Amino acid sequence: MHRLTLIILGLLTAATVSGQGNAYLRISEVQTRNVSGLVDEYGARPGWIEILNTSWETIDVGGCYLTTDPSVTDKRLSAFQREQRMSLISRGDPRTKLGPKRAIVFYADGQTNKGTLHLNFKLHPGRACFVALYDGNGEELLDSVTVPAQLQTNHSWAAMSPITHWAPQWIDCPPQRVTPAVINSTSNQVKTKVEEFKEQDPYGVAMALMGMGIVFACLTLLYLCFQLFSYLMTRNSRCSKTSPAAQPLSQGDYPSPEVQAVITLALSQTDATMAVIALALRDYLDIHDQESGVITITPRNSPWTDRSGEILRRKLNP
Amino acid sequence: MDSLWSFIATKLADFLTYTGFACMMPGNLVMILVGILFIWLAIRKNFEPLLLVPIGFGIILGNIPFKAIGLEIGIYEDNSVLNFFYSGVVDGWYPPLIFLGIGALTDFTALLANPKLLLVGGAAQFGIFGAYILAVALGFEPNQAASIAIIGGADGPTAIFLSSKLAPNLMGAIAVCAYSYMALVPLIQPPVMRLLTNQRERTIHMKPARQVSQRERILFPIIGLLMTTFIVPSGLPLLGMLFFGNLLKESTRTTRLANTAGNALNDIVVMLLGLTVGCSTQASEFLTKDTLFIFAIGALSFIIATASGVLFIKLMNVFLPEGRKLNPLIGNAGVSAVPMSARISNKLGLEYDKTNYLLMHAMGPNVAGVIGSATAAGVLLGFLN
Repeated sequence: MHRLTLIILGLLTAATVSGQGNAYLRISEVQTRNVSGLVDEYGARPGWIEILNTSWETIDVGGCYLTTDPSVTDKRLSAFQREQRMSLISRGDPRTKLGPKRAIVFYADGQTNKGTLHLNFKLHPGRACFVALYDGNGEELLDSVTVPAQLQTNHSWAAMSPITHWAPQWIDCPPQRVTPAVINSTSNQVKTKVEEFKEQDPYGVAMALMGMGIVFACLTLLYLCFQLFSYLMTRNSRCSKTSPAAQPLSQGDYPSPEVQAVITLALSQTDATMAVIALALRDYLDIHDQESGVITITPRNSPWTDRSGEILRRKLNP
Repeated sequence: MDSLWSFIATKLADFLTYTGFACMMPGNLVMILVGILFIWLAIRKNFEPLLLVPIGFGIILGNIPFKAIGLEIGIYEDNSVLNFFYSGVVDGWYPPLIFLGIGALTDFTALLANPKLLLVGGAAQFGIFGAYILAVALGFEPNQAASIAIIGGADGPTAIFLSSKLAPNLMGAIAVCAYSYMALVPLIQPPVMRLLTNQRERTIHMKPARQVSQRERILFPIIGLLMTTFIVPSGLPLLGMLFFGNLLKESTRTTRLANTAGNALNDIVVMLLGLTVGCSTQASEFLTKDTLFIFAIGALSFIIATASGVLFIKLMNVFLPEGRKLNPLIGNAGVSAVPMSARISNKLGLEYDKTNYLLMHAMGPNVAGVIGSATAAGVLLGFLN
């Protein structure tokens, strides 16, 4: 029993571990040539990479890897070899824990001694720049993007996506639309669901049709399933004629109209009356199996009987 | 000595500004009277006392006027005890717990014995979508309209769940409206049922239901969960807990858990939910033109739901052979006010034929209505959240 419990707990733990949501981390914005944009804690303006948590749960980006080395995509590399070519994001910094739909910026300045948010490589403006985000195991590629070489000064390469689901559309953002560490705004491009319904369905008819259709589809599926089940059960009960209990019920097996009337009465009464009627009904309807009337007591040895036996023996043979 | 008296006088004058009498607004008084009315209806008239007593008392509690000086006592003030209780409403975790209890208490046998009654539960959900059209026509935003429309499902927890997600500012009015009309089901439904049926239809005797095996009852929550939530995953919190509670009951191996979910846990959550929903109906939020519209749409949604259930059965009867026809009086039970609307079907059936007991037949669409309204809430949430 204990072993079974442990196995179940183990499976649950494994399921919890594998349910971590690093797969929802995405590269959402990159700026390679930062001249008058974001300033880091030391007053410098390095290029930067923004990571976005696209899920609705908190995810720790700590332990993941960022790189600009395209050779890491080589499948023949071992996880260790790949990790050597990437920049590890330190664990344990509360800043790397990203809430739902939150973003964080990492500075590509090649100076990891400056802190958690600094990477061990630089971004090279003027040439196409491959950026990849790897999971903590060094094997699973979470996201990658290639920033075009012609990206201008203070422009960023940004993934525009609806907030509700990740469907990125990469665009060249001018300086006034660059949004480091903030989810890239799509409000001017994608309407909210409410706005969409307000505009497209001003009378609510489409919603009514779709809603009723879906509710009916669900319940019709259930109906078909249990209608089939009902058919199978009835057929089974007809086939197995050997067991009298399996015979289909006749009209007489159902509560008589009088009993149904009493049930109805009970349901409309106060608790005390209901209880009295229920007891009377139970007495009326309760059917017991035929009992043999023979009670068999099997003697069992236990520490208690052993002890009493010992006392008895001592009394008889002092 | 003078300074001491002056100090006492200042403090007392200051204290008087904190009292409810000093802070009282006419709206508070109106709401306190509404709360007393709810308690009176519950105790004197026996209208849904388990819900209306906590809600009525909550309305009084939430409308006790006080000066907001950071005492952390109001329901909307961070760190107050009432605010802590209110988190179950705002974050939407009370309704799924109530659905767990409903699942543990509900017997789906009547539905399984005659699965086509599921469709009646579906038809009655037109009350929700019809009310959505009305609310949109009255100028509500789609998310607000959806929250108001769900009142037509006659399901308080679902209404609270959906409005907490889509239109939290209307939640108090929607919850009070939903529970009020649930208590008034015996007054709202019978006239509609009489209007839409004739004498011959009202006296239809339905075929006795077949026996349902234990295996079917165990499989129902599992299959029901898979079929509904695969199509409408947004209904997962409500449908998941409903079917989970029912599995606890039907498995026969977890009777203790089913008893706890259906009794103690359910009672605790109902108390807290009713009280905090009542508290949230503060005069400034509640006494508005929108509340009047919500109550009007709510009443119409109940009427539409009842009518669509009855009319759908009449439509089904066109295709059903003689001897298998359904009594349209069970159509009203497609709303999920369990078991009140089923009792109304039975009462009306007996009124027209003393030997026609419709209670067990009406329980089928009644429990189907619970599934239907939770699914409809999932659909609205999926489309608009």
